[in-house]
Amino acid sequence: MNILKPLFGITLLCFFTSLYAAEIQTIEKELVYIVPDTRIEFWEIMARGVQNKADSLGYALEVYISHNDAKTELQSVAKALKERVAGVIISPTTSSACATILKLAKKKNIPVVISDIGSEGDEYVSYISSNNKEGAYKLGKILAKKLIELGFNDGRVGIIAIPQKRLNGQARTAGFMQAMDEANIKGADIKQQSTWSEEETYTFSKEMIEAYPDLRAIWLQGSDRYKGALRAIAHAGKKGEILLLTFDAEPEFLELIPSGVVVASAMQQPYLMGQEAVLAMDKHLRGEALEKNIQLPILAISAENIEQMLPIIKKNVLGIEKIKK
Amino acid sequence: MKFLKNNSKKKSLYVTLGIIIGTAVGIITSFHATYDYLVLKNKIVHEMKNNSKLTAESLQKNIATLMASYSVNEYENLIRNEIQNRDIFAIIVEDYNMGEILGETSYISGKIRDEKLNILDYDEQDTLQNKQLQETYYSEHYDIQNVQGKKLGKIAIYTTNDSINEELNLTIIHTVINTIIISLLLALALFTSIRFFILKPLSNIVRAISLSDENGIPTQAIPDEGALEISILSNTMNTMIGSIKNSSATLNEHHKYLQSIINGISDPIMVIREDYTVELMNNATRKIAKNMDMVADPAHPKCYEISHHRTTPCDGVEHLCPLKEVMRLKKNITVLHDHGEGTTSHFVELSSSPLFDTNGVCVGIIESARDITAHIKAQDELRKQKSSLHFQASHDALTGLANRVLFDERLEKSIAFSKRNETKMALLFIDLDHFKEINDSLGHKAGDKVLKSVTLRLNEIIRKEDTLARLGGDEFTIIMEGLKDVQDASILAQKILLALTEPIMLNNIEVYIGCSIGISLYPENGDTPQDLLKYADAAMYKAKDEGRNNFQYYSAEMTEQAFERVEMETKLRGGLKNKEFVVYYQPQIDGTNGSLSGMEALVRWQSPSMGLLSPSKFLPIAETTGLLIELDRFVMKSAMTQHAKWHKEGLNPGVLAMNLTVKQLQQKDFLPMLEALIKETHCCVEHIELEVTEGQIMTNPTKAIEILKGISELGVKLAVDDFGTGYSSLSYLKKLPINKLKIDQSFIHGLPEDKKDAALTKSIIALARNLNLSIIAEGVETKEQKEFLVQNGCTSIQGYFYSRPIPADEMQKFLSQAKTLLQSSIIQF
Repeated sequence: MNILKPLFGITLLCFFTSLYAAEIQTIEKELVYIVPDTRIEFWEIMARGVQNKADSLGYALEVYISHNDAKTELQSVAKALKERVAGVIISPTTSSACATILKLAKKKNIPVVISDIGSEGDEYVSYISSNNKEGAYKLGKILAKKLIELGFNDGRVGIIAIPQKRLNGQARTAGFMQAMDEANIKGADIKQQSTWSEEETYTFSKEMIEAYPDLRAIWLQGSDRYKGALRAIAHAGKKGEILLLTFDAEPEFLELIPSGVVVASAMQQPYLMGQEAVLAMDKHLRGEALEKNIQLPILAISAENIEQMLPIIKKNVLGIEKIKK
Repeated sequence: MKFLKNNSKKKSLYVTLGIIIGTAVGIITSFHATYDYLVLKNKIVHEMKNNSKLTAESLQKNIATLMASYSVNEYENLIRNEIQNRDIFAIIVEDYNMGEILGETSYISGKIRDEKLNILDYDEQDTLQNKQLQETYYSEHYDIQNVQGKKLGKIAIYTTNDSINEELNLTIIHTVINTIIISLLLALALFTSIRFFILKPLSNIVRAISLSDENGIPTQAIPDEGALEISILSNTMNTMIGSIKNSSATLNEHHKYLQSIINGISDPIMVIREDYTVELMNNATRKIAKNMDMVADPAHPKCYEISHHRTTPCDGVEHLCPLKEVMRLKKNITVLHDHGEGTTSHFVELSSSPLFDTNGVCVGIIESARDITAHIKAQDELRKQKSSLHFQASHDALTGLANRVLFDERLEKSIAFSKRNETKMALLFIDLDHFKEINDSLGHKAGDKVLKSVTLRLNEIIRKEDTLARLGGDEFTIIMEGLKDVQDASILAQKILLALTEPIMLNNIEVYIGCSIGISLYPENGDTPQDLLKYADAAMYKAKDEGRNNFQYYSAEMTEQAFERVEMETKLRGGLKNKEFVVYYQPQIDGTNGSLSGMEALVRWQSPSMGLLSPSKFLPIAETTGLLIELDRFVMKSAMTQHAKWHKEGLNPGVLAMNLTVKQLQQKDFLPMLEALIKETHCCVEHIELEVTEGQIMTNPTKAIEILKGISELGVKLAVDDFGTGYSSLSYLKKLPINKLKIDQSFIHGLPEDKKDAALTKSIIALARNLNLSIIAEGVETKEQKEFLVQNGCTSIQGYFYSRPIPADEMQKFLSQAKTLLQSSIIQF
């Protein structure tokens, strides 16, 4: 009897300890990814990249969609912080909003990995971004070459930009303008997207076409509303006279670029970025060293190299890994 | 303007006005600057509050929009910009919407500055930041509302006064610079104006004043120019100068008047300044200073030049400097200077008093001098006279020794000294033996010489510290202080006895004088001057009693003896009055046949209280009290009467020998008295024989010879009593009209065995024979003595061998028996 009593106690202690350890393991394994808007292909692909890597590394992942709404985003963050998740991966609605999110997370000692967009704050574990400037610069080079080939190099280039408050927006504009300056191609107006609607893209494109008769190209710093721009060019009767360039990619680009409807597009690799974000968080949670700023290359795709780059585009840009299977 | 410059340490008007103006401008501009500062400060504070309010209003609108859109970072950036641009310390925002999302009341965020003015995020958990917020100078809180009026949050704006202070400091610097510049410009303008409008006219006034006569009174009128006040000043000064001139004239008159007064004073008077300059003097002083060669500057002579004919001030060694002393003491002093030359004294009494200026500061002295040489000499004379009188009062005029007064004083001091020092002291009382005889026989001058001689001898013997005094007559005293041993007094007494044994030469006459010394001791015999003197006196009497020429210490017995002496004196007087004295007669027998050759009359005192007393008991008292003469005359009269009676009765009394004292001899009426007594008593002159002692003769042999001759001329025989005991001069003996020598009993006592006595006795007998003088021996008590004397030629015998002195009735019987028993060879009494 005397021996059985301590043995029973030890057994109970081991049982509860293992339960507690399992609980901790469960909490530590939970990650949250806050994405701005999955209606946008780019974010949807990135979310899949995150999910893919979280699954492969054994993390439970909760994805909160901000719907490009600051309040929703903040509520998601508050919820994640309240649940004391192991880490937060976020693609913020704006760099500014991200700064507040980082402060809130820091108060709760929860690590944050930023995937794209960037932050005005610097309290994050790692910032996974595309080298927007370099990508835009390469894209600008392709356009310059094309305009020169077409003899349009005395014309102007208009830009429908993502909000320039975003660091990625600023980098894209800077890289592109650098290439234009180098080719002595004049710029036209630059308009910033706010509603992200096709109509908005159409309106901006139309206004620029009307405002600048010598407009020879429109660079759309996104991809999803490219149809609005094409429609405006078509309505202006300048199809073929005004070239369209985009940023990022849509599945149909695999056809539009070779056909010349879209002259070129600088394609980020959202799927890869999502994976890198989880990987960075995992390294942090495991205590490994990692770079604070990880920039992934942007693929400048034109008709000339699309065939060659197609496997990478499909996997890292379009996230259609499962399709191959 | 140079006329306004001098060497005075006082500030010039220019400087004074400069100070006043500078101070006034400084004060005014300082007040102005302070006022500006305060106004500016209020303005800055007001602007700060206004700025804060505007900031709040601006932020309220913008932040409300941003809050509504949950753009936290945007409004935080907005806040940062506001802090940066508007110099605000902190802006704190409470966001209710964010609070709701986070499950809290509000989300608090904001920006705050650190110490280096960096803008930091506000952390509500940071205690330092919260403390800084509490310590801010000013804060305002505002609600943030959306357009519908819903409260979205709060905003608080905090402002410190650092920027205010910085701005105010800058303002102060600017104000100070402005103040200095304004002050300088203002001062420059004022100085220029002052110089032209005030100083220049004043300088002209001073120039006019500086042209003055020897009394400093301006000779020219003061120019009337410049402003009204200066013009009034010029006129007033002109009036004043006129008054001063009038006053100066009056003052000169007074000065002359004063000078004439002090000139009338016979004593030299000077007013001397601190620098020795004689400011004022009278004619008497000028007379002293008539030799002005020593005066370097006649207009400003120095006191030492006038008084001492020196070229430099006195050093105060030879005599006190009145100037220095009065300047030091600030009060009147009188000093005495000897201005004499060589051995001649010239005393000057200098009376000096301080000279004060109107401020009460001593600036010199007023000195008057008086020649008091004659006065000093008169004082010296007076002092000498006083000293002499004092000496005379305390010293014996004859010997120069301390007299009774000084002796008493010294004795008292000596006792006090001995008491203090616990030492012994001796008092020697010296009485000269036979001085009275010398005085009486040789006269007072001789006596005085003896006293002087004795004084000289005593002075040679005593110690320096001893006091030798003459109390009067032949009485001397010596006070011996610090006696180590009683024997010291004995030694001194012995020396005195020895010194006075030596004969004294008086006009080629040797006078022999001894002394009797009584000694009393402190503290053994007494501790008062009276006791010590009394006891020394008593001891001296004892020495007298002991045969004179010796010294005796005082003892208690002497006191009794002294009392006895007093008692005896009283009784002696009563005895004389009551006729208690009787005459006894001692027979003088012819040794060869036993017949009566005469008798010596000897006095006895039949005292009712004391019984029969021999002369040795009362004669010394009678001698000292003056009763001796009366007693002597009584004896002479009684004996002569009795002798005449016996003779008349047919009895043969023979020679009647009577002792003649020196005092009797000294009596001027002695011879007439003796002659009268012979006649009165009918006593046969040829039977009368008067005995005088050697000592009585030798004290004044010349006088004695003269009197004795007178006695002899009356037919009275003379015998020398106690022959051989004195120092009889044979030359005098030869001159004396004596008939008989009487061998003293002291020689008889040793006969016949004592060879010296025998030889002396034989010599005296031989001497008498050779001088053709009769001879008698007294004090013969034994048969052997009688036979020795008879064998050697002295047949006349007196003494107990035959009879002691007997009363008259017994003598009468003896005479009667002798008449009938004339044949008996030995008569036994």
